[in-house]
Amino acid sequence: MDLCLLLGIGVLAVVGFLIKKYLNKSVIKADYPKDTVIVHQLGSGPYCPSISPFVIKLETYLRMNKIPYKNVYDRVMSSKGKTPWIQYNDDVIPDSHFIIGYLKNKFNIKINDKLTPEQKAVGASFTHLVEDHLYWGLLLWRAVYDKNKTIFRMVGLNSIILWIFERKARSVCHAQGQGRHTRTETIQLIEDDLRFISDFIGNKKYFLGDNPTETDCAIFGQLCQFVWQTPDSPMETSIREKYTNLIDYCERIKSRYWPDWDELITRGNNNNKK
Amino acid sequence: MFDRVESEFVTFFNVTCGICIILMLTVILISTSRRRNVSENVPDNVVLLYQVGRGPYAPSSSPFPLKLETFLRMYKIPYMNDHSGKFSSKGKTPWIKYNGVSVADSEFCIEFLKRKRNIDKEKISPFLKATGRALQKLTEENLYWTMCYSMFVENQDMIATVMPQYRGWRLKLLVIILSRVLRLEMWGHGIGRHSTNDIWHIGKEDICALSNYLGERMFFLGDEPHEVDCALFGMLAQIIYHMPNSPHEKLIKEKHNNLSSYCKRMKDLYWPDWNERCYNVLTPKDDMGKIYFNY
Repeated sequence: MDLCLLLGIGVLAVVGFLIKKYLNKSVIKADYPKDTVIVHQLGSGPYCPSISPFVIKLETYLRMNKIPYKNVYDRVMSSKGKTPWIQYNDDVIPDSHFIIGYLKNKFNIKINDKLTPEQKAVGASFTHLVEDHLYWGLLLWRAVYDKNKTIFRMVGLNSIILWIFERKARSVCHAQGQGRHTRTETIQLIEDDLRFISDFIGNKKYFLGDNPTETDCAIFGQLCQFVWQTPDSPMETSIREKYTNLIDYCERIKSRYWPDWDELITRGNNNNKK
Repeated sequence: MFDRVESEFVTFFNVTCGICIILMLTVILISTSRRRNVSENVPDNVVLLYQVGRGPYAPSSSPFPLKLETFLRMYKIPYMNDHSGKFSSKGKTPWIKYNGVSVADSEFCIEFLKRKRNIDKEKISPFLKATGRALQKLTEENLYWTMCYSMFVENQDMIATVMPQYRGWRLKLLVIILSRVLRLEMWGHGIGRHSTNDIWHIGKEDICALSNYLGERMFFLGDEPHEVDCALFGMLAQIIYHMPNSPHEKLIKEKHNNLSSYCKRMKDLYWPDWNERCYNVLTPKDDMGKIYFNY
């Protein structure tokens, strides 16, 4: 009897896997408009157009450079098991870093051309600081240390999914390294990163000066999550009390490139969710 | 009946292999942890630095112990090494004990020691300090993984370079374990999901960024060395001394030689005893129990 049950579960798992694989293939082959970047992503966030900083980074880059694009909220993962990813005509590219490299070549984008090599190096360094260090703090806060799992509940994840997701986040963050620290240490690391970013931006309009560059997309993508989408967190309090220039910076980019921001957020009302 | 016999044989074979692997791991662990430890003989106000032992061509085969030990030397903090290979409560190394308090993770160790030793805040602007932090994170959170990939996954022959004490079956087992563990860690990080070419592309961009930022400066934040130089030196020294003929090393030698000059500058400044602190050179000396800066 037990063996039959196990066998049944195994067969269901295999069938589910095959169906998913078929659906993924059909997602790639769907009849999308030509010469338009198709952005595959998860869905709207409650207070930002996405809960993923990498989606916001990518979309801000597309808007900054006026590249025609269309969002597809299919929740399908890329060949590397992550999201966002894009299709452009016959090309399929995963990972926001390589997507931006691809778009730079395809559309001959020169937004970074006036930067000195030193400025580009600083931009790359801060991009890694926010994407390879600050990001893990964000993930740990949302999936592990926020007792209410506020943002994940607001996008409609139930308790069982959240339980599984917490276990997976702990495992991935442990492998990366930051998951080995305590809650207090993690919050301290996030606070340190926010302070360094605030000190670097200072009174500047954009991250590297008076004009926006590619770095602003990555920085804004991560910062907007902390400014607007980590409610009731120590980091939100720190930003409002000590690092108000981060709010000004995010508001500046939001006004310039996201005039439709309020139409793209759900405020927790899942009827508005894409 | 024959299927049952075959499946029982397969089970027996798997269990036997499992037991053999566990026994071999135990032997390796015991043989590498036979070094004496010095923890019972540490005076007050002396940092006990736990690390895994000296490297063949640099004082450590890992960037983080080299970073931490360079920091101790930069600020002349009295310290003593324990090369027994004991890991921290977080399952990593290096870590320290100071007046009975254990601190894990090199960055937390540095923050702790700055507070305990009242090390004056560096006289640089918050803007420059933030830049240093970003350069450090580019190196430790990104470049580091491309180096691990090159050393332990793509070209596993290089493990013998940094761990020449392992030979034969012990080396083969170490290679299997290290490459599997690192693949898992890199998958979790994200960088392990990319192809070999893409990972190298990421590493190359990081090395170019570091070289472009350093330019003709003596040190990364100006004419004087700062705390962040410990982290950057710790990492770059691994490429220069422990990754011969790797794409990283070739790129630095051929196009970004300012990084080699920088490492030599840091080495001359803080490691006059470099040759005595590597075990594959003419005059290696065991410094277990030796107290540095004990004035």
